Amino acid sequence: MSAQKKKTLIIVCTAVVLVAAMLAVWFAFGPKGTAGQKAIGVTVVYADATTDEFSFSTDAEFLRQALEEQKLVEGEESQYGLYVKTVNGVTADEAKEEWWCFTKDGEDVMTGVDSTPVADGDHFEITLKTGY
Amino acid sequence: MGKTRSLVTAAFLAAVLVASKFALDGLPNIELVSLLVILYTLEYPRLAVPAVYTYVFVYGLLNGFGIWWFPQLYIWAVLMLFARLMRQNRSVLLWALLSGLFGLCYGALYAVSYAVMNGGIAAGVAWWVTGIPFDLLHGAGNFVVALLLYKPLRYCLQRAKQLGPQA
Repeated sequence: MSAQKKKTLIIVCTAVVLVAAMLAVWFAFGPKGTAGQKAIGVTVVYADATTDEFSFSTDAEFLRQALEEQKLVEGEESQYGLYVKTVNGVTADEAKEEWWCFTKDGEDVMTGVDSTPVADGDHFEITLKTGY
Repeated sequence: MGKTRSLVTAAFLAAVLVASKFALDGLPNIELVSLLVILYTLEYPRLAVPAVYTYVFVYGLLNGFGIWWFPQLYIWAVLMLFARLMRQNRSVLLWALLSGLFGLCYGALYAVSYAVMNGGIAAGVAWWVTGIPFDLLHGAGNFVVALLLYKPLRYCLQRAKQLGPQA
């Protein structure tokens, strides 16, 4: 076997093992939604610190679907799912470095809205922040 | 290559990176930047670093210098390093595999910075795990893009290099 073929084989094997390992980790530890109806709460905090409270029931397993059902968010598709630009009709002004920060009970949400699972009783805060 | 020509060429290469990035932004995980970084390293070994870091700086100017920007400072260096180590390789398949592997590891590389800036290894690992589907798509996208475009883009860069100042 030539050196070139050997190198290719090693890299192909590495890629296959890596993909298999990533899939295994994803299925074992990835975020999982739960089926069924849940009651969730959402607080939207605007730039002037005023707030709007929303409480609703949803069958959605992930936050994006739950928020879109209520027509609460809009945005652009990005490589990590929906990049939320507008919440409850208020659009973050990128010229002012505004962005929407998602937290759950005050804790940072480490996932995008597409992969943030929702469970019964969850409460999320969506806060308009300024400055990257 | 004269200093002025080097400067203009590096700026042009950076501009191509920026344009390709924003042109394909709507397509999830399909990007040309990885392949272009590999090709710059092969065809313009001395200009690849200034071109790539000009792109990184412009990317920050356009998107903000948030915590998502800092990993860009080392992520592309890793790819340039591997491209440099593999520069003797002539197989398109191998380059496509390298680009694909880089796409697969992109989230893990990003997570290192996330762990440092956001409270430790557990936060970094959690962030990486949630991004695995995107990394898999990124790897597949990079592999296909490199397989299809490695030869034509490398030809374009070689032709551009042949065009002297007198041309």
